[in-house]
Amino acid sequence: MRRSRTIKLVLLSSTALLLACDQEDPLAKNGFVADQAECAKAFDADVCRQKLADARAEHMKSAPAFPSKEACEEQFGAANCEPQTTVASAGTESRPPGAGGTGNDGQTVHESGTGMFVPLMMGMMMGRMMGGGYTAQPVYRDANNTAYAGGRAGYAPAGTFDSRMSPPSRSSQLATNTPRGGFGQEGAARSGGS
Amino acid sequence: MQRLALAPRADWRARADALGFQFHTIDGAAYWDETAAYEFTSAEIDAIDDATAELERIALLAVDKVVKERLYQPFGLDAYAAGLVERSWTLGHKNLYGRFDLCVRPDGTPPKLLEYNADTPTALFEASVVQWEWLQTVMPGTDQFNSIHEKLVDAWSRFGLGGRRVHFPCVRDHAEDRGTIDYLADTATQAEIEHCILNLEDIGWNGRQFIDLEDRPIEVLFKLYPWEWLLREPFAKNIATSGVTMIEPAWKMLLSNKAILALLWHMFPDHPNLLPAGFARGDVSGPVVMKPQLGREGANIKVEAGEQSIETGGDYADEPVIYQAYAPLPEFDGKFPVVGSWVIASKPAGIGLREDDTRITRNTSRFVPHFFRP
Repeated sequence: MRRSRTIKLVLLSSTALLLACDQEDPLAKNGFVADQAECAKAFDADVCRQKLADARAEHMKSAPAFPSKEACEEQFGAANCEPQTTVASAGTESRPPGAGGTGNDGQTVHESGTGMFVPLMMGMMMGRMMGGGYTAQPVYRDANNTAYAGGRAGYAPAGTFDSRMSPPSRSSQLATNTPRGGFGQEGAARSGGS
Repeated sequence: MQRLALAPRADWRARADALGFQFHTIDGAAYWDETAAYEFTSAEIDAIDDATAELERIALLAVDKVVKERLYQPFGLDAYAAGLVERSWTLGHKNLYGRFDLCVRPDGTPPKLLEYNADTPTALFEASVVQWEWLQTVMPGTDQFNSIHEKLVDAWSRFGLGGRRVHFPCVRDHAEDRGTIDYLADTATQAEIEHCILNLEDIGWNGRQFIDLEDRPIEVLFKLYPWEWLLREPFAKNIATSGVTMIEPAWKMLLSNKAILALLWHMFPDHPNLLPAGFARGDVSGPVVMKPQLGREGANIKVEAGEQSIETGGDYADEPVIYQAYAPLPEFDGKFPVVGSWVIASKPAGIGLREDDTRITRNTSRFVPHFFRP
């Protein structure tokens, strides 16, 4: 099938850190974080631990699942797949049938295999949430080393869109000897799509 | 090719919202329309795939001819614009994307090129992501002509940017353009391309280079903004000396101009994927469509075809026009679908269908998903 997708992720896109040109990128990598050590260089260590745990939980819930390890490795490369497990954490998740008993201390986690295989999580992609805080999505790499962000959040949840609607404009505060505004007049009134 | 009436998913609006698709409903009417879907056969998809590759091949030959023979006059380009075209083509500046609008009929006749949206094509996100999510939940086990997303990520990684940052300017407070910019910036992110987003109006000029609000030089600029508009604006005169790499490159202004339809027919008469086209009414016999050379979104189109004659208004009445033989869109249940066939880095990448209640596709037409059985 030369024309269908090769990567069967349900949702391919992400809530990446889409930076305005006057924002610092804390990682210089648009939100990609490989592991705790790399994350902790730019963010609070406790935030990193929590977000990596969130991404890991999301990973087990929504990673593309394959019936065999071979089918998974065909797309994601040798030794790049692992068995899928269900994760139930009391008080925060509804318990999947057959996942075992759930403790009552709110922290007990039970895992059990589903018989399916998923690609290894190669890190996470962090995004900003409106009103502060961060989202975290699992990141995968296919056999060609192309990175994809997974997760159920999908592309730019509506809740975060407005805050990114317009990058802050600081033209008025800038030195007046730099001419600006030399582009954009035609487009102010109409759509340029075709 | 057939049109299937389907029951829409009860939660389709919530799903579209969750994907970040801001324009599923426009002025209270559904733009994303899953009350129907188009089913193709594998052979029909092959024909569209092959026609798209062929049209891109001859389109690039046409650009080469224009540059080599300096045929800029029919495109209305002055010496400055022609210089930008020539330089970008001669230096081999890469392009990211484009969308051929095709008339595809269920009778097995070859797909016909209606026009090539080569500079600022729209309906990208719905074709790449939204209809794919639809396929996964509504038609699992079937396939879709759609590798747009992977090819975008791949195209960025092969662009040869050498670590240069891409600036993505967006017209201030233009929500639809911002959605497209966010999606394209996201594909750049996934290719690990450094980039940032700014207002188009905030771009500055320091006398040598374009700069952003941090006074950093803009080395690579992705513009979701028609070339002919850029060239009318005060900063246009700086583009040639600024050293900026533009995406789409300047040579795309040849392909987004409908004069290319006349040139293609001149170069490849009787090509199975082309319709007769010319600059004068007499160049085309029989029913004809008049189109502004630089019109958009179905504006100022005039069809002269007996009972099917129809005309739209718009902002482009003063544009020079081209004449193209009329190829009536097929009719399914009173709807008229046009196939938008995407090329990413000049390779066929997938299709998105829009349908209208008339034979002219406009910005109010609806996007309808498609699938085929492998």
